[in-house]
Amino acid sequence: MITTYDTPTETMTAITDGWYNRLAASLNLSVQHFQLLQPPGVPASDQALWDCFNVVPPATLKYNRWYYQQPTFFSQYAAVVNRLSFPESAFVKDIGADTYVQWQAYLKSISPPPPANTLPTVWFQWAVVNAPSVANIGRSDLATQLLISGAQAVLEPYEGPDAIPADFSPSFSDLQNTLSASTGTSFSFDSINDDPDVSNSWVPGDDPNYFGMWTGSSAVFHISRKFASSKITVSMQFDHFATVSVTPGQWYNSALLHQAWASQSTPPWIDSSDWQTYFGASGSLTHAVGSLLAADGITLTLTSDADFTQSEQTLIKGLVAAGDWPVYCPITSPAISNTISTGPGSMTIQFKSAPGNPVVLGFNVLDIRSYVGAG
Amino acid sequence: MSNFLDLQNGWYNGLIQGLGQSQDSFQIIQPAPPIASGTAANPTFWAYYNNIPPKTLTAQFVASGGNQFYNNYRGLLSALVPSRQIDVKADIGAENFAAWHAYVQTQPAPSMNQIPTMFRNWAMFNAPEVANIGSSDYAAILLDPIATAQNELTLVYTNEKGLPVNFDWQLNYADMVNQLASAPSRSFNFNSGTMNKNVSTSWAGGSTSGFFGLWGGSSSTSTLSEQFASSTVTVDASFEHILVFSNTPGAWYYSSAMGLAYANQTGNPWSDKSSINWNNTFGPNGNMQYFSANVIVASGMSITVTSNAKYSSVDQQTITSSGSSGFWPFYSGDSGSTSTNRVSFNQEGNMTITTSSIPGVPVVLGVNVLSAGEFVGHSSNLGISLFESAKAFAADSLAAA
Repeated sequence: MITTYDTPTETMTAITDGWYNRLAASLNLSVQHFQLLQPPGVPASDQALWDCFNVVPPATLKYNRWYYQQPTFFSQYAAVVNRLSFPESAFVKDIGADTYVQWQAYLKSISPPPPANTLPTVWFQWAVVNAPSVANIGRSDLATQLLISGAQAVLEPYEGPDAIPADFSPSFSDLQNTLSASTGTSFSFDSINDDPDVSNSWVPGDDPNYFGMWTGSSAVFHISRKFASSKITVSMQFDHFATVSVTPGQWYNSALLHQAWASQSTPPWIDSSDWQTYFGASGSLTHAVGSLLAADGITLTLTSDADFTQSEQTLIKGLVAAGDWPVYCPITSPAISNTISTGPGSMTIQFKSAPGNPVVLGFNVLDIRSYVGAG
Repeated sequence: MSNFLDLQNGWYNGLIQGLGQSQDSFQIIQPAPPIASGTAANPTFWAYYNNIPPKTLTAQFVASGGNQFYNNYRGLLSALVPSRQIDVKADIGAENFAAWHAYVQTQPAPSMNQIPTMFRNWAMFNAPEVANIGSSDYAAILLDPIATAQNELTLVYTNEKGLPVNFDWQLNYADMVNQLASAPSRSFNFNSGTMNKNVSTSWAGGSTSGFFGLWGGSSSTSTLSEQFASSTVTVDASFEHILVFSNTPGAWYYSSAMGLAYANQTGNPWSDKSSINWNNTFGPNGNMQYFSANVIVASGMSITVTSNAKYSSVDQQTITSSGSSGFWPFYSGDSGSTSTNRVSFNQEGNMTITTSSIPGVPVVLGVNVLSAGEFVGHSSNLGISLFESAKAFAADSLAAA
């Protein structure tokens, strides 16, 4: 007797991989970086947009946000920076104890006290006259301390109680502006001649698609497998689409993150095992979102020849608001619509997003090495 | 017979020659994203300079905002120490120093750059044998490139609470648009029959990524792309305005400090206390290996590409219906607001692709990428010569100045 071991998710995974390849090819996206977002982001504010991409993306072509519980990029970045040690200032040692006493006396005589950014200049003006041989090393030490403490301090308002939210570029209105100046496109998908081969992508191995036919359904459901095995066509039209690079706000310092990544030792790390915690093979900051793919004014028409029973059809139509494959967009705003019509052996789903409402369909993911610039 | 990579490389060579660009530094950006005017036009435009580019001839530039020049430069400057210590007291003698010091206290507070002259004038009468060395010492202290760079950065680009201030570049988006409007026109031709497909001497040595076939999204090894590449391809390109827009970092950047850091792999000016060093800054794992020096922008672009291959009616249909993401060599699609990109066939089945952009709307064609060595090249010479001249300072020239 021959036993066939069928991976329960494989039919949904195969058509989703085919869709992934079709989308990447049609929109000039590199399969070395691109990742689908499930469900997509439908932001209506800066915060909603940032929440969508403030994430350490998992190593998958199909980032199911219900399944993968990912930390925010901000939290991991902040954790790394807080695990770094910085050199103590050599100011007192470099200028000598006697000079330091005189300088302190002078400093106390200034009212009001000079702001932090002028301290190296105030020092220099004093020291050129009073301690010229250490004037430069002193101002260098003070400036260095300011650069180091500034890079850390800039993060502080974003942490702890009353933290302000981590901001990014683009803002929601930037994204809308870029999209309105960007090109549109249309393309189609047919499961008869699609290409589910993702062996040349950045995630070539086992990488299941967890959702089934509709958002929140399982890929192993009988209905999902029936759907995935049917002949499916998709016709997709975007009024506009754009790939927009994502830049963290002022709280982010690329030099600090690079420094942490580039040296495994102490210093800069406080604890020598920390590098592995964040950047090791199973670390929590191994990838970052480099850019996002957004579309505006989406019209998607899907047909399937699956032979759904009457009760299956009722179930599918009853859950129309959950959103369906391949975009999996729940109907959470009046700007989004999803309609399903069924007949014997034929089903048509139409998904639409109204103009002016960007939908974030995916990310271009960089490994942390590339993200910090090491190629 | 040419394959698609040959054609792409030939086009790269034709384009840089046609635009008067150098093979040592040109990088094609494709697909070129639009720069939308609006509130964030400056940061978006400056990002072309501030985001450190990847090493490829055809970069998908929007890759990431993860590696940034300004941040990295601030980090670098926290890892440097002044070039040398100058002991004025030892050079002029303790007694002279005490007398000079007492004299300065009696004067109205001098500005920094008056000190060398002031010392020299005082010393001419009070300690003539050390007038020159003392004055030279003070000038060298003032001119130290590392300490000066650190001081500038912390004074101007750090706020009163000690937090970093946003970076800028000397010229902004509006400057670029204005200059582009009066920039010269340019046109050139390209023929695959006579093209030079060798890019081995170019800066990226022929490594390419983000690279498509005949139309955006097709594979460069598909049958149609191969057929296209092996035919005779001609390009007529004209630009109403084309501009190589040089920009330099704002006052936060002090080129001679970075030049000194690049020129010395170990020891001074690198601080032994910092974990930032030459290798993890400029080396293979470094975060400052390349720089975007210029952005090449055009407006009123009109490009006609012909291929003399005979395309069957099925092929014609495939090409026409697949081209909504644009055709070779610029994969920007048909868009009402920025550019159009269309294909047509004559009765013999030969193909013509036309690409045009809306007059007055800037399209980014490429970036001049320089290696760290090239980027700091003349700057480091400048920094070193400044430093040398400071050390060899002649008091007479200052007094005369």
